[in-house]
Amino acid sequence: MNDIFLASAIILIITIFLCLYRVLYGPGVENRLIAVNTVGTKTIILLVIIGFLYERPIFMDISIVYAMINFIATLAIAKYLRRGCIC
Amino acid sequence: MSLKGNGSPVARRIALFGILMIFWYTLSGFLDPFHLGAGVLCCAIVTLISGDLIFRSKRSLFESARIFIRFVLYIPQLLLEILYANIDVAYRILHPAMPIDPGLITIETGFTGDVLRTAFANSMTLTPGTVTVDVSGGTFTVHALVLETSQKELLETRDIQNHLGKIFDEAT
Amino acid sequence: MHLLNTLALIFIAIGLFFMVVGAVGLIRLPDFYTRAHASGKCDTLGEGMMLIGFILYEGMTLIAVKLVLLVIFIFITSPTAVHSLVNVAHSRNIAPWKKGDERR
Repeated sequence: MNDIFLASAIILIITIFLCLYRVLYGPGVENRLIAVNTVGTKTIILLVIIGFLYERPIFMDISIVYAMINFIATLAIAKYLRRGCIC
Repeated sequence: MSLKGNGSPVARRIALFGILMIFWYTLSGFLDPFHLGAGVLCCAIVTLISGDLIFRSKRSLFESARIFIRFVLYIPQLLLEILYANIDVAYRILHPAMPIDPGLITIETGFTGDVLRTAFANSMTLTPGTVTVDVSGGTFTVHALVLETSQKELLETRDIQNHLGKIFDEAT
Repeated sequence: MHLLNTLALIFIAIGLFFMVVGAVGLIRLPDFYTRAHASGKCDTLGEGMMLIGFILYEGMTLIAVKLVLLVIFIFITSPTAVHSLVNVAHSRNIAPWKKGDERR
């Protein structure tokens, strides 16, 4: 089972690099932001896989916190782009 | 403590404290005095600061619980529709000619509740090839990946809309 | 035990497929609104499927409960995040791509 986890982690890293193309060349700030949001959601899964591979349950808590931070960061950036300030 | 109306502020805070303690225990997994004491302290601080943010609807607690159970029973059907929508989007992305025809659709509803509008917008983003663009009052603006099929689904059959209206007891 | 592992494997494979499709769609689709479809739908379902696979592999432990909480959290917040970004693009008057336009 560990080999399968390792293989899926590698495939996920390749998809993250595919998303980084959009971060680098995407026209305008919205395209970049949605690519960054996608990279964040893939990172959550990657953290869970790392927790299973190295048998460290603490990574599940890290991925929960990462999901919350990813969501709040996206909302804060969206609010900043809309109003010009975070208020 | 009466179950009618919104409940007294103290009752709401006690309920919030209980929910937070269950959440704390689920995440920590320890039952020794030190961890429980830290949990009680943190939950008390959160309850004092933001106790009036939760349970803001005007329904009674009993009615809210019934709505919650009906919504949970609706989830399997929603998951199946999400799966169908995803297969459709995956087909359109992977097809060499990309058969897409995007456009904006406006949907008029009579929805007023916050939770209902959030549930409707989120399930529209997830299910029939659409992404919610704008919400103002009961009017939803939606971006559809394929204009014709989404128009047929959202403006004629109105499947999700009728379902959610029935679950939350509001006029569609 | 063997059956559960096979089921977990199937769920992980389907989730991985949808994640890859989401990333490919992010590159192939012609404009911002259509890319939001790929990011909002395929990524959410792919993530949920992979986490359900991990839950089946793990069995009934505290880790599985945490992963269930993560799945519920993701299914509520991921469409909301995509909606906020699309709403920003709409308020900045970015016109949606029509059939026949050039890709941007």
